[in-house]
Amino acid sequence: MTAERSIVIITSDNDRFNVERKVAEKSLLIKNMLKNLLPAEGEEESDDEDQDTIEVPTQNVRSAVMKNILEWCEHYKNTDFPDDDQEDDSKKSAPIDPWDKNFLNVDQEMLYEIILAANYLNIKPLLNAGCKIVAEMIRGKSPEEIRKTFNIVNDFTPEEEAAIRRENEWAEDR
Amino acid sequence: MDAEERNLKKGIQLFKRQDYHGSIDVFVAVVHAYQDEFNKNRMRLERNAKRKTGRKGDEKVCYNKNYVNALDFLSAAYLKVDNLEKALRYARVMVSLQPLSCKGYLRLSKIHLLLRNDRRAYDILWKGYLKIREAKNDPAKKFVVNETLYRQLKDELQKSKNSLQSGTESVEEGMPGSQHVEAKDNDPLKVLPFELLCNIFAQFPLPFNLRCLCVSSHWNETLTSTARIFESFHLKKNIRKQELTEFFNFLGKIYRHNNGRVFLKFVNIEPHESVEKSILQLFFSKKLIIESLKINLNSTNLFGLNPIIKNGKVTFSHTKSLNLRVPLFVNETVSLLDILGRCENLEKLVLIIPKFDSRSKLVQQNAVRFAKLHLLSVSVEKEAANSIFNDTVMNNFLGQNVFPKLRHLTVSRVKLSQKALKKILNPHIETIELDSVPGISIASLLDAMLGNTEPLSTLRELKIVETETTMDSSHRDWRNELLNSKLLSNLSVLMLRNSCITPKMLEDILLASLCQIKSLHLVLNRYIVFQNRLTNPSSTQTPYEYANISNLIAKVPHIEELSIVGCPGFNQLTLSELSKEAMTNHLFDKLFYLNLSMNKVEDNSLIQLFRKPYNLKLDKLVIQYCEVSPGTVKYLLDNKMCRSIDYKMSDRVVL
Repeated sequence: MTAERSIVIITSDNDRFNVERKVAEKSLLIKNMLKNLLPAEGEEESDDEDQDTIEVPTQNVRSAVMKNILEWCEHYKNTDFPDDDQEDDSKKSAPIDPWDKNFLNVDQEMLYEIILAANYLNIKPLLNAGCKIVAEMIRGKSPEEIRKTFNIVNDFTPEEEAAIRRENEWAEDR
Repeated sequence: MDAEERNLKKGIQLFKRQDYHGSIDVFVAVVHAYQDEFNKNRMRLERNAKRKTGRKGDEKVCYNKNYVNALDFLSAAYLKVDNLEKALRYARVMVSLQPLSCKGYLRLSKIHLLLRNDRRAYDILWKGYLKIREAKNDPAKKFVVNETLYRQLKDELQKSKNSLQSGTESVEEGMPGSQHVEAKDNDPLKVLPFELLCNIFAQFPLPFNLRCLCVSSHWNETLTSTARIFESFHLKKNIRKQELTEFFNFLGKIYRHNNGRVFLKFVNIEPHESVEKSILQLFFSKKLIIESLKINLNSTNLFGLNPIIKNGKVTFSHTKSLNLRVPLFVNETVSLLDILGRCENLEKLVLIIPKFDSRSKLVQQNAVRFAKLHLLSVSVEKEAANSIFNDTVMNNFLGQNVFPKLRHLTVSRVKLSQKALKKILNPHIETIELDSVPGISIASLLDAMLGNTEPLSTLRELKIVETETTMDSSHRDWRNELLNSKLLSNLSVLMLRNSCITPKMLEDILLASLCQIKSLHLVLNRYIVFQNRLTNPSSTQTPYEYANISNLIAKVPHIEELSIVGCPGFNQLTLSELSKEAMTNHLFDKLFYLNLSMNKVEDNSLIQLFRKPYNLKLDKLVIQYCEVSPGTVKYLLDNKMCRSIDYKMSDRVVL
């Protein structure tokens, strides 16, 4: 009963990560995958005991990103997140957890990769935190500040930009 | 759809014969037919999605494959006749319809190249490439890409990149912009999937998102390619015609593939008095489907508004909430019912009447059943309150129609008759708010409700601001009548202001609410008088018995919010009596809001409340015009006994 098969996550660049089941199951994608392959913890062990590791390939996530993702999963392995989408609004307005904020304090490229991976692996709380960080990078900034933040080239001429502003003066500004 | 398919084939033949103008005519007709079909599907889906609120956006609107083909050919034909603008428009529809097909991106970028907008061409290819690559690599989506086209997309992207770089080097060498193209941008709009971007931008206010359209052409295109980011539209007050036209242009852009049919979650229209009519006519001439509409008018009355709506194209069958501030024609409830009759799904109606136009026109009408309405708020503004027409119009409207599902009723300054009031109080009512309704007092309201054949025990909130009231109810046995009827057995919020309620009746009401009240607000009620044992008792005389704070407090053991404002005789002795009673009832555990304004409350007795043994802790304390010094306020805040304090000094202290 205690001899649990270990789980190995294989990244797109063929790195292998040995992880606890609890940690891996933070990803609903992996959780569902395992549900089909493994009996639930505490249930009868299946017969084919010769195969004692189970490999989970994740073609979309490279090793450096997976390392981060697993760090997050490890941190929250004992936290139960409610997985209903009902209370979306309250979740959206809630501030970012300080640990998450610190954890996601990485360069933009890595941040995006973590978000994409969380999206792919279906890790809702991490995905939400990541999107909130991106939202905070944009919120309240002027177009020029936004361009600076993301190193975006302004391909509008000053006239074009003024025209767009002029065309959008119908909204109540508050 | 056989006819369309035949037409499409005919168009393709013309195209092959190089009769591009002829083929354009055919294709335009085909595209429009498919567009209509697509819109019908979309609307049906939206309706379904609303029914099961938990899920939305999961399903994709299905469209005919030929629709995309027709668009493709139409765009190609326009390209042949050098109408790049139109070619661009239809290519864009293609992309938004089939975001995972390489074709649209290739076509769009080609047009941009012809327009000499290389950067944009590159952006489009890049965006398409990312989107398709993502879908391709996601096994869950089971997406099969057309490999030939995909390779072509990649090639074009590489070509475009090279030409951009070499172009800038040769032409703009040394210019400040040149490094920027080389430097990699970290634009989240190029990386993150559409769904996530929608979630991010949907939480920002509208003016901010509009400003974001200036960031870059890529931002402009991405943000305006989804209506989901822009759903609620707070239009500016006194909007000019030009601005309104621009607003509709904007809607046309974000709903570009919907044949002009636009679904708005919220929109308001508040034109300036001098141009009301023309602005209204423009607004209602558009094909809009509006869920929540707010109209604010000063000169056009309901009689004038009705034909504008009638002749307009705005659809009201999805309207759930209507907020109308509009002058009313006397006895002219026909227009009102005409407008409301269009809103078969109306749930909330707020009606504000700034004035009554004096032209009498009595019309007999049949009762209308507002089947889904659960919130009704009717207010007459101060200037119109004394109009001789105040009593007829609303009594007709409220008294003659049926509101079977009404749960929340707010009436302000309407001269409501007892009969009409009785009629609208149905067994579902949960909150009643009566603000300065002439002649209606807590006593007459309870009387009306007790007289109802069906008992109302759903009432949770009762708020009354009385005007001069005449009904003397001091001798009635309220306690038994209320308890027997169970009328107030679920009451948890009670607000009485300016009321002539007697202390005994108040206690009876608290008892009838089974001592469950969480929020009690007593403001400036002239007969709620506490005996002043400190000074001359004659200074606080009352024709009734004195109020007893211990008795009162003992009947609200679950109190969370308490206001005792402007009560004659309330002083430090009353306050310390209150704290003692509160302690025995553990009242201070739950209390988080306390308002003691306009009472003779001074520093010591107030501070006492927050010290041992009472240890009161509040989120908010309100002490306007008391005899409390600024030092005490600071002390309470500094020691975190209160989170916040509303404080104004009494005139005497100031002097």
